[in-house]
Amino acid sequence: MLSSLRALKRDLAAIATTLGASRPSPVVQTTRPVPARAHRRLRVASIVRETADAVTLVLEDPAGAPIRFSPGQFFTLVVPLEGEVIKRAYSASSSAADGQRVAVTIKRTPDGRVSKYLVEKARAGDSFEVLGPSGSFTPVPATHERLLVLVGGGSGITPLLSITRTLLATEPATRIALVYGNRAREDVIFWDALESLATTHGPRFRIRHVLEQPSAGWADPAGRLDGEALARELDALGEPDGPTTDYFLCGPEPMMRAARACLEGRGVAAARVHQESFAAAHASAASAPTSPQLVTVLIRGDQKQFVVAPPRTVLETALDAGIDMPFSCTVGGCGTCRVRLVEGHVAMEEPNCLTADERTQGYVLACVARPASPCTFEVP
Amino acid sequence: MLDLDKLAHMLPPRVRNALDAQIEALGVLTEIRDPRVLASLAPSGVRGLLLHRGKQGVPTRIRASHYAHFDWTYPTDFPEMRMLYDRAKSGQWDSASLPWSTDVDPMNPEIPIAPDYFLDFSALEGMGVTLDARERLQLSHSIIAWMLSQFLHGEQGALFAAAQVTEAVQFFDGKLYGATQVMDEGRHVEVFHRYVTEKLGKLYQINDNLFVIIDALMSDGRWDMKFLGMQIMVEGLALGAFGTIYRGTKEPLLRQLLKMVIQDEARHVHYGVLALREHITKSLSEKERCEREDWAFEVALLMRNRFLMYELYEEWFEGRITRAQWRELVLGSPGLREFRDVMFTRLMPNLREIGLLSPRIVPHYERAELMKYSAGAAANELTGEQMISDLDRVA
Ligand SMILES: Cc1cc2nc3c(=O)[nH]c(=O)nc-3n(C[C@H](O)[C@H](O)[C@H](O)COP(=O)(O)OP(=O)(O)OC[C@H]3O[C@@H](n4cnc5c(N)ncnc54)[C@H](O)[C@@H]3O)c2cc1C
Ligand code: FES
Ligand SMILES: [Fe+2]
Ligand SMILES: [Fe+2]
Repeated sequence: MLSSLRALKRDLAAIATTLGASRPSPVVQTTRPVPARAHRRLRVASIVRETADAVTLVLEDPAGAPIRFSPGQFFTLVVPLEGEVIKRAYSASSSAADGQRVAVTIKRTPDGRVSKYLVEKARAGDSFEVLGPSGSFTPVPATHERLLVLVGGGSGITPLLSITRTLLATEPATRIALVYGNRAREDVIFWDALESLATTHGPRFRIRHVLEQPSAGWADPAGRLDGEALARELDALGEPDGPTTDYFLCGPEPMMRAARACLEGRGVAAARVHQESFAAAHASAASAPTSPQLVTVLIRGDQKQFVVAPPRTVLETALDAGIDMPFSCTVGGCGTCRVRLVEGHVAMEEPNCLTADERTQGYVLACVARPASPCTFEVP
Repeated sequence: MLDLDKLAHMLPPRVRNALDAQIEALGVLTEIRDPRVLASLAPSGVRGLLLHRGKQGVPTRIRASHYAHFDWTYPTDFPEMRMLYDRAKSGQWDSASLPWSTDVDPMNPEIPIAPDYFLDFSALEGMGVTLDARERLQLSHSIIAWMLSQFLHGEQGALFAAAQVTEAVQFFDGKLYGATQVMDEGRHVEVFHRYVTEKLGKLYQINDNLFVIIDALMSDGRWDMKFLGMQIMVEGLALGAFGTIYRGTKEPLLRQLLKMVIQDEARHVHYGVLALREHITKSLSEKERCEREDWAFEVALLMRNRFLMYELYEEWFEGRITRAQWRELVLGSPGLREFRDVMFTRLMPNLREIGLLSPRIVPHYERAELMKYSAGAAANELTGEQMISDLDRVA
């Protein structure tokens, strides 16, 4: 009875709108469009065997949707393996100017599960869930004359090659010098590609190879790419350092440490030295929490609560609960999911991309954090 | 009408617009000549056009009055439907496999979501409304959000109608097939809702005329009227609309989404043609057949004349131009003309195939300039893949 009375009232109000009374907006609901950072499935269009230990997978969207990224960024591949779903980050090695495809190049790590699988088993036609692009290891686009010095070791060449390919094609005023360290000639992943870029672009692109075990007839000194070797190669390039020179380092941790020290010694401001670490976060069984914890998230003036049960991370659980937390790589490599721990304790997978400063300010990465006590996080 | 127009011009614009809306609502009902058709559509017309039941901000309840048809012997009674059922099972697809990660930016002029000919901007300027480049993009965003919102509401109607039809249909093979269509329509609701909310960020109210058709179908107790309304008319309309946008959009996610939906819808119309051809040509009296024929004609006119996007007018142009000017603008736009072409190219051959295009109705269709569409292939002679390649060829 009461409900039919209410219905009648609504009908009368509706008639009134037809007669000119003000009516509700025709738009029922506006929502904030969800940015495209969720999983997408990409297909392996082709495979290139680069060396005995490395392959390149060229990925494309099966529906032909564009693939955009900035040179130096990486994608997270989600690989189902032996009943487990494992995520690994791989930097783009192709030019970002392509728009339709992206290539990632994977080098087999000794005893590495995913890299071994991809190098040996991946085939054209396979498809993978992919996240990203992520990361900020990318030069700011510029139109003025400038020099980029790239220092790479082993598989660390991948983002550097993408930067090289992209900028040689799109920034006529940018010059690039690459110092690339490897064990031996046959380990150098992109030897031919680099040679042909150097031939095509002449003085705009120069390479210096540093080999630990060169074959007979190699003119340059043999040895690791350490600080001394880098100083020697920079001198050999004869490119003076200047305020528009930027340095991009990617390779094994000892190489990058030595390179930073060397550059500091030569008076290069730390702000002009950029680096990408391939050391990915790994969950350590010892510190992993074993009991479910209540988590509170303060996000855009709102407060949300949910329970995180092991072995799930704060980010995974929040996304499942429909909370729109920022993220990109989900493997501790990009910093997009950074949140402030207001209260409680978490165990984080290490190493990850948080800086020492961020740690002292109480930041954690939601994608690799598991609560060890009831926690409150604030999303910046 | 002329005198009314004159009178209207002396009234303040707000009242004039309200009057225009009233006259239009009345027009829909008075245009219907057949009293039986009027009787079956009038209550829905009142609920939709006058009471705006779809826009009251609360869920709508529509009473169903059909019989559920059970058969405890499970006959194999319609091999062609059985085949359609098998094809539908293998044609199922997972909505999660669409490229949802595509970045959709309605404000990016490089990748327009809707073809830009749905409104004639120069004609709009002629009416004294000039939009700058940004406003045009915003309006285009509203237009596509409006259209996809109506698709979404239509899919909700299709979901419930498919469920009703599955209960009511007397062919057992048709019931099995119907179950796949219920699943299809559920998936369509999901993907359109996701696209509208996640990618466009804007959901519109249901259009009154669409509400009238859905209301009429849901409340009519006769199963073949539900079939005719849903499987032939509304699905035909949907195929026309999907096809137009599929052809015109440059946005890869929407294109892929529509491609998948069109292939499902092609099966649905095929099913409608099979069921109704059998029923109309074999089990109905001539009198009953004539009533169906007239009903289809009236609904065809309703669909040709009445999807005028008034919700957009209210949002954008109320107070700047009159409703009559808006109507002129929309009816004259090349996009809507194409929309009508694709829609009737699909619809008319189907009406012919199911026996609702007899010599007695042909002159009426001729007067409405719709006969020219009647020569093509009907849905039972056409697969979803063919429809897609037709559309691709013209694009
Ligand atoms: C931002 C980022 C970008 C990356 N880009 C690339 C790329 O372009 N190409 C590429 O080949 N790899 C890249 N990596 C590394 C890649 O993500 C994996 O860590 C690597 O392939 C090893 O994974 P796995 O499953 O094979 O090894 P796991 O099974 O995880 O590890 C096997 C063993 O190797 C050790 N180990 C793991 N990673 C390394 C490492 N990087 N160096 C030495 N020892 C290691 C482990 O501690 C363990 O003992 C990138 C990593 C990050 C964080
Ligand atoms: S999402 Fe990249 S660090 Fe967490
Ligand atoms: Fe549908
Ligand atoms: Fe349908």
